Amino acid sequence: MNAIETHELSKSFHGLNAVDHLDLRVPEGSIYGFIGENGSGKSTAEKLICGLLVPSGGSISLYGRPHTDPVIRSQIGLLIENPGCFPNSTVYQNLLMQALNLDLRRPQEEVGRVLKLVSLVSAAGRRYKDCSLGMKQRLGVAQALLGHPRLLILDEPINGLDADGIRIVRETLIELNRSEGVTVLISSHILGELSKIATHYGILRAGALIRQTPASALSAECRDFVAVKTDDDPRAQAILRSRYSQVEPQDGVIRVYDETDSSSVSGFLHQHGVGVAEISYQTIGLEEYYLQIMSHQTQESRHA
Amino acid sequence: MPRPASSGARPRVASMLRLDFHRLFHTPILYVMLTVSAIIPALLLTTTGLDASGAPADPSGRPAPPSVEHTNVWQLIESTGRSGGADPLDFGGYANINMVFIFAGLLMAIFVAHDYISGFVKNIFSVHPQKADYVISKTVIGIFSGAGMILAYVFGSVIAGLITGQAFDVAVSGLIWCLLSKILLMGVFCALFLGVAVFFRSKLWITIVFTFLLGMTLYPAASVATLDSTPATTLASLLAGTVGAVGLGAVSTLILNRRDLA
Repeated sequence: MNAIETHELSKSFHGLNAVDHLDLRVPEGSIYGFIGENGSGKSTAEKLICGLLVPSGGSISLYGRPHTDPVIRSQIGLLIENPGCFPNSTVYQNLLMQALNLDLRRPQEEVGRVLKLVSLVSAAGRRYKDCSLGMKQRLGVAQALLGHPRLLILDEPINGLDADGIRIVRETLIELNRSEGVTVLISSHILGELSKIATHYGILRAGALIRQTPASALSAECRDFVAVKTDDDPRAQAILRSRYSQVEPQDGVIRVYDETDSSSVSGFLHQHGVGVAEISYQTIGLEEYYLQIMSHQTQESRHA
Repeated sequence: MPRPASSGARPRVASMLRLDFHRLFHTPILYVMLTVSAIIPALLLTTTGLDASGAPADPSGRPAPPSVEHTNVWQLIESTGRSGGADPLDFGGYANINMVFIFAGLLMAIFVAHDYISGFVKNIFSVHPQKADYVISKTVIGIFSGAGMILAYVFGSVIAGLITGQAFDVAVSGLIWCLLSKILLMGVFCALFLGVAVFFRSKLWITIVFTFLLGMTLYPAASVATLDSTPATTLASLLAGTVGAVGLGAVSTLILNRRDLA
């Protein structure tokens, strides 16, 4: 079953489509990385799913039920844009109010649990407005985690976090996903970090989903290559093309995609009298994959 | 401690009420409004210039200031014919018990606007898809706070009356029906003020200005509850309060359902 399923979901502001016929499928138990440039419609889509915006068209279902169902909606934890906290109330009070809002049975205990989870116990008495950006973000995550939600919707949850904060959030999400089967829809611009946890990806552009794929399928698409820098790159390219079919210059190096053994490449170049300055084995990461897709999309739209 | 999965309206509204009451008692605005409500009658009584017999105390024999015609403490509660008196500059005439209706509106304006300003409204509506929950809870908070302010005003009047040696002659039943009627009428006012607050959302100052203007225009309507009130007056107030709260609450719900929240 899909935790989130949207069909032709659309939202326009003043005639501009922020979300354009979105067909999102977030499988239950997945960590779904929601990727897209600024203004691509990620936050708008997330707000629509949480019922904070009124759709212009289409439908949303959560666990097979309409997203307006109070039972399903009570199972969502969210952090969208900024944590929703009262500035003059303390960290503890803000969490307690959300626990009351969720109608949790032992709210104080639950607040204590999530405070420990995000390492904010020592800041419990601090007023929200006096918290650092990182602390506020961790508080937002803690609010989302109150009462063991079934579905977490997190918009840029690691924004402003230091390395330790990022690690805490990452490990917490992985743990919740594995031990409690929590489904996570997470958007982030820090793609390297996202690639450490995501099991599925959706790439959004101009409000439309341009790619939706499991992480395993994406890994297969992310090719390995040998990157080599020589003292005569044009000649080296010609030589390498005589042996390999996929040779491409990029970012000041020559990439050989149909070879994984760097010693074989360097040996071949050496045989032909080309000096190798640098050579390494690399993999296209999520970030580069994303940029390639975006560049491809830009070219397509120009041609169109 | 998993999240409860109940679709019933009662537990949903109950959880909203728990949240709102917790917030109400943990923010200074309620206490400020209660204090102001208690201080106003004290100021009125101590500045009326009445002596214990109710006669003007001005030794020159000149008439008392226009806003002062009270002969005993309870006339502050009744405040008939003086709500927004004939003279628009007669500010003393405005400062009667019915003014707490405006204070209740201001409290609601601040309460609702802070939900939006802080972004906490996202937390509320992500788990409460039925906007009526919010409207009911906030209206109840308004009525409760308004009732508290009415009682604070009575308390302030009594204390100031005791200190200044005012007369306390009143028919107790009339006084009780009068206060009950005013509390019940709070339903209409709070529902109206809530409509203004959810319409302007985070625009706190615009909400405050509209609430104040609306309150100044309409609060004389609350002076129908006098010291001569009977159970019939209270019943009429209950009816007006309920119909007004439900009708205006439906409008607020419609506003919330039709508009984006964040």
